[in-house]
Amino acid sequence: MESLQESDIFMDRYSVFAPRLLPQEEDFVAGLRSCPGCGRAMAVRIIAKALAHSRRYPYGSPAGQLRDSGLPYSGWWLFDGKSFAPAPKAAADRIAAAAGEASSLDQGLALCAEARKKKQPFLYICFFNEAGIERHSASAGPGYYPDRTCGILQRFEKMQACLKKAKAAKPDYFATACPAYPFDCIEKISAALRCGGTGFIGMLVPCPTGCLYDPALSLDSGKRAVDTGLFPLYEAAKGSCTLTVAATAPASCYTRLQPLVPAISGRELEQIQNLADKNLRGLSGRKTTISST
Amino acid sequence: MKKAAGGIEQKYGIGTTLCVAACAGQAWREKKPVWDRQRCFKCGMCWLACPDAAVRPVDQGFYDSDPERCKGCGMCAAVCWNDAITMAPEKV
Ligand code: SF4
Ligand code: SF4
Repeated sequence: MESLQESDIFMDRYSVFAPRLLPQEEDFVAGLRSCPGCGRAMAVRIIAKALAHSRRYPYGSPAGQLRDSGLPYSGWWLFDGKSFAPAPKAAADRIAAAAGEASSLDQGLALCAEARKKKQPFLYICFFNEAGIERHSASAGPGYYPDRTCGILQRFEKMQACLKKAKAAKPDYFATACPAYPFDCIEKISAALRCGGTGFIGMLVPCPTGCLYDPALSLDSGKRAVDTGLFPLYEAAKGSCTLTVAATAPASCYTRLQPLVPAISGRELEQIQNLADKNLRGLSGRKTTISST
Repeated sequence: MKKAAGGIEQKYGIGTTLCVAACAGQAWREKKPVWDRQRCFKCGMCWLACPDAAVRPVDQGFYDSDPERCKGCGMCAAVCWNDAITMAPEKV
């Protein structure tokens, strides 16, 4: 058995109060128009907490702005007193952290490349909606949205295709995160900012409306996707790839929660399990991480 | 705000003041979180998990939700380590 470090024991004993150590001020504008239990909203709020003491601030994709604007009409993206510049060029000049969604993957990677050329620190956090992702150069075929008969395999396969494409751009820091593991997210954002170069974080955001489960299960669903290996959480920096949250649960643990997939055949389940196994291949090690549940 | 005549905005009252009025009355919320101070040990997990930033610190380090902002999703209740939050039916 792995011997626990002193710091791990400290974390185990006091981790329950960890939220109290986070910045208490709210950069996130309450009253947004997202659905109840929106994983993406929680992700943005966690990013705001992680960036609270930093000079850097995120760049929201225009699509995200429109869809997630607040009640009744105001934008809800993050504010730090300066308005963010929507033009990619201006963003690369001034903005060190970015938040976009899967459809803006190409744009985000282009910003990363530009920042790298200019030797500027830049972090791109790309959201992957659990319920499906839109069309971009890493996903062949038409825009995809889950229906009653298929989905899980295609959704997670496409997420891995996006991650592969992002990895090919060779950012200095590369990681995957999920708001179901909020402290893991915060640690990774901090690590990406510390690295001083370009960073990419692929973030799985649970979507109760898209997948039609109870909004209260939003974080549970994200946690299951991580624990089964369908979206493993790991970080890759300086040539090493480390799993940050152990993924030991069978794929059925995730599919059970999905009402859109009422009767999944044994063969389909096997395919999903194969994908999870494939995702986990080559990843090893585990750091202490506190989950949300 | 630009309104499309006869479009979705008109049908659901978006762009008019109907949606705002419905929100103000919380007509759409089925449940609301209720904190049990006997069980809460003030960890703040519910505060962190709320996707609407509706959980706020109140007196003596306890937490409560902002009724204007809470959507009744139940995530705060789901993450509470000590079952200190119950989702009570909203009285309309
Ligand atoms: S998560 Fe539960 S125990 Fe922790 S502060 Fe909230 S109500 Fe209290
Ligand atoms: S029910 Fe949902 S929106 Fe309301 S306070 Fe709890 S987590 Fe926030």
